Amino acid sequence: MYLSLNWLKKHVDIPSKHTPEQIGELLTLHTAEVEEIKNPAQSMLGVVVAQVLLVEKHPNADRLVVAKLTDGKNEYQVVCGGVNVRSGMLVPLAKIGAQVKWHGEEGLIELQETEIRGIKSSGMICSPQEIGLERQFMVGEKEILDLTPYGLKVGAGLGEALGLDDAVYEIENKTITHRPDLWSHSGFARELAALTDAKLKEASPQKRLGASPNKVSVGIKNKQACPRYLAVKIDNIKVTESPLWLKRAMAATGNRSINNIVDLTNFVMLDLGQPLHAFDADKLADQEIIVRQAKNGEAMKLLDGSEIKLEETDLLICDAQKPVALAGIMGGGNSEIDEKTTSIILEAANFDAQTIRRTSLRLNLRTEASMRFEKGQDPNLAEFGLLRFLELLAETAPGAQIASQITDIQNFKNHNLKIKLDQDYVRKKSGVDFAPAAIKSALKPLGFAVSGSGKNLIVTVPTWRSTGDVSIPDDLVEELTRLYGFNNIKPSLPTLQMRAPEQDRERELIEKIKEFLALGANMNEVLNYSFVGSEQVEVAEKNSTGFLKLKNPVSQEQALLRQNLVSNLRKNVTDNLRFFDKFSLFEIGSVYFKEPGDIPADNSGSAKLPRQEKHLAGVLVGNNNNLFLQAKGILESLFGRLGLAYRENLIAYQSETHGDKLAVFFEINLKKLLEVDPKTKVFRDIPRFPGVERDLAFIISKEIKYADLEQALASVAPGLTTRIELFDIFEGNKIGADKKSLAFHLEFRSPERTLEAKEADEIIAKIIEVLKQKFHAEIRK
Amino acid sequence: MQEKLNQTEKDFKQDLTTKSGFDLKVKYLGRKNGLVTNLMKELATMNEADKKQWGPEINRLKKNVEEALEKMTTGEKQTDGSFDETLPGLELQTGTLHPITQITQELSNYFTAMGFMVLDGPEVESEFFNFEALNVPAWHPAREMQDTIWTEQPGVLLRTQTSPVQIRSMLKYGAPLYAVAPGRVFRYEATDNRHDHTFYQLEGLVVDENISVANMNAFLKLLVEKIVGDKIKMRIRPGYFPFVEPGVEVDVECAVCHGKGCGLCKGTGWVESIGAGMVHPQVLAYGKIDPKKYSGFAFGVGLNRLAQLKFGFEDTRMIHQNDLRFLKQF
Repeated sequence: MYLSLNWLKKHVDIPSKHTPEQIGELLTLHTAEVEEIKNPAQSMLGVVVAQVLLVEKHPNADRLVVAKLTDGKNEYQVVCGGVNVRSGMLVPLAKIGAQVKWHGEEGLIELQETEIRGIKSSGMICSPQEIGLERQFMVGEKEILDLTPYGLKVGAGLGEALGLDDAVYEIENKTITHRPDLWSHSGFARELAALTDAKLKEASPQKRLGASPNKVSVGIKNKQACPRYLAVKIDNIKVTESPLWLKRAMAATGNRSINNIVDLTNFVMLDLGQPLHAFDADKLADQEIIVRQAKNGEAMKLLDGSEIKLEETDLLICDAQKPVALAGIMGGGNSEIDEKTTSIILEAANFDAQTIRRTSLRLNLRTEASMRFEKGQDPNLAEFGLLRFLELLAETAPGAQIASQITDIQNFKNHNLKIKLDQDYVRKKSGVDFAPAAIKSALKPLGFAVSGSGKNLIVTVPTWRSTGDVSIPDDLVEELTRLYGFNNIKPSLPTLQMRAPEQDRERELIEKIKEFLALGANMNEVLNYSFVGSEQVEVAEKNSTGFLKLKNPVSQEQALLRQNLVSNLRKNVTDNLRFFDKFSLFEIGSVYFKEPGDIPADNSGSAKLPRQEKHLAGVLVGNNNNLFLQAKGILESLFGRLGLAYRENLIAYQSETHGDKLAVFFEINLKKLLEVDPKTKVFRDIPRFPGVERDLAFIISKEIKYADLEQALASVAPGLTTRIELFDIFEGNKIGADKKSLAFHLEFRSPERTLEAKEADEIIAKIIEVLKQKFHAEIRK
Repeated sequence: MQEKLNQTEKDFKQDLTTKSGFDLKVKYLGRKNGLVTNLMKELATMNEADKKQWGPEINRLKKNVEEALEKMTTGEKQTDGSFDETLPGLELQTGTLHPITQITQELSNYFTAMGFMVLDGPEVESEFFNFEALNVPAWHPAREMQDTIWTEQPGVLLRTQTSPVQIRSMLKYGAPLYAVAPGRVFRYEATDNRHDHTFYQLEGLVVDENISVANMNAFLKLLVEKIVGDKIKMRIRPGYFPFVEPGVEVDVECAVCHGKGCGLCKGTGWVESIGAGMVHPQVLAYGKIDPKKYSGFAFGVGLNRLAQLKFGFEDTRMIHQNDLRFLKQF
């Protein structure tokens, strides 16, 4: 939202010591964030009001003229293509060096002295587009802006002459979501009055009585959705261009100027916050208003030309026959003001915030009116807005006549909200010791009435703050602290009670794993999105129906929630293989399933959220055909590091080729890992007697698993076999295609005495016997 | 015996220049017929007097042979201990932790040291915890501020903020409560170099007796100092979040332009960095904590922005691209 400082000053006498920047800072620090401050006149520097003295045909061009102009001091010769240039006219003259918009170009162009078809041209007579005013001043094609009607002073800078030398604040709308009263100049003026200790000039428009005793008939079918509706008929309307002050107001706040009637409804909205709507009275059947819920499937055409389909939660303004407006959001095309309009019915209403918001969201129609109604406007403002419109109408449409009494249907009560405020509570909550008198004087300028004595105060909330914004003592603490200034509240650390630390095993586990894999196993941690696309999911998984799907995915490739981490790691492998031959990655993240898990979905605890668990996955990529053993080695060490026994059945390994490279993936469910019993580290006596080492190599069938061999080797002399180390695996045609050769270092040691070489040789002999018998091993010498 | 010893030593010295380390090992230290091994075996059979005489001699020979072989196989050269300190060091290969993990751990450790719990919460969350219990009913305009990614299950969404952990932790632990909850959050949002649909936040929550705005200010100051140091200016201004009252936003002076105004801070000289506020009594009530007895404050900070500030990369999308050329830098 845009705020004009010149406009604000009509409501409040801000002391002159405050610069526009300081005023912006005050608003940011105490009320709402100012995103930017701009002076609209800055974009018109070097453009002045000039009078055309003489217009002659260009000797060498049919469609150009040569104009002589004066700015009161100097004369200028300008070649111009404007079809409406005539002598005596007041025009915007951009002098050499001015920044103007050039048709078809982006940004501003600095005007140069030039020669057009042999004639010198020192400047440019501007069209509204060329000075950024096309939304406020409408001209025909190839016409320049005719300033004659506005009685401007020749030689004055255009920005100053139009009254656009101003400070326009852009307010971050997000920061006033909770403040229905701040969607207007008068609302911010009240804040500034409080912040600068200035007087607020409260407008109080007079009730104007119509000559006719007639009333506009208004019927409200849904009272809850329409707390208030005022209507009045006005005749003798002449729809024209808006007067300069109204155009200026539209220009300063970034609004389009449409005509004197529509602009005035918008002006009142920007001034007071009350949206108004003017219907062409002659287009309303029976000149009657009915406010009702829409019927399911009913359709209407809005004034922006769009066709909408309605639902029964939508609220309509209808005449005797048909919908004429989507309440609080936008008027209908069938009742719109146009240049032939001579009589209007003006609506000043209040609509239920939720109703407006629901419809506006569903239809994706965000209008200035809907943005205000959905915040919860004060129903009292409707009357105020209507009267303000009538007051100003005399200026914008002279001759207009109020042709009815004011219809005012009220389905609301001013409940006079009072909040008990305890001074101690304020101190406890804020950390500032506000005296009762300080509380009173701080809240008063914002319209709160404070009564009561001593520590216990009663605060009466003004109607414009009591539609949901302020309802509990904490809301008043907010008012007091922000007015005081959060920066001015002295920081003080609370005292912390000591208590037993909560152990979070999963978090500890994750930290240890990350630390080990990155710094111990030299892997790089990645973080992938939680999503997968259906084509990324393997066929086997695709057949499962367990995927948790997204209703509004950011893209179709990200429409499902992942059930494993490997799917996305696979993409990381492909991407990184473009730059690296050998690498290893890991990730810890959540996976998600369709069926309910054990996390409660609400505070009753009976409904459960979809199951979600943390997984660890990793991948080793390279040439080496030992990659699997490397991966397994990492995980064995990891288990050891975590104080757990290695559990093969918790790990899903898979390997695949990526071009000429191999990738070995692994994935572990951390929840399962947490269930593994710890393998406590127990001290074993440091060997006191020397051991005997023997090497043993043999050839066996490829089919035989290492685990079976290991068991066989250990079983011969269980108490004495202290090391079984596989140091070589060999496969090749030399030993036969279906064979492999394994070589072991074995160590035998007795805890009680020095083992004799003979004893070791006997064990070896037995082992050889077992190997031959069980596995048909061929011993290598 | 002496002769045998002399001969063996002489042979060894000669062989040392002609034979390979392996052959030497077999010839002299071989288990079955190594020359030195045989001498050791002989020593074992000697009487006490001979053992005394020859033991030290044989052991000396064995030691010399072993040392010579050791030197040969490891290729160790005698040096005088001097080195060229300008030579490049041998590279030690280590892996890396993701920048987001590093920031998360750094902040978590900071808060743990102050006595905070570090909590986790579900990423697939319910409308109840993500919105309703945080004082954002269905019709509330604040829902607009957070475009939500919904799952196909009614009322089940991807959490748009880490704030639902506030309610979960209140329900689980009650008051007093000092906790932070870092984690992944999601918004339905087009990605560009400043936005991603998946990003990271750290939520903080303090609930105790007599917690005030002044206490909150002190924590915010600590947090800012932790993030950008104590030399950077900060300011606290009103902000709106439905689950706090009052709500504030913390700006830090723009590190790029030092408050003069630049592209990063959109000309304001300030960068928004933390949202915070006093926990709304209604939210405490949802967390089954008595708002009459306890009060508290909560804060949230975007970790993407912090990681970007700390490590100096502009494009927030790098966080999920998992390009090793990026990851290996940290």
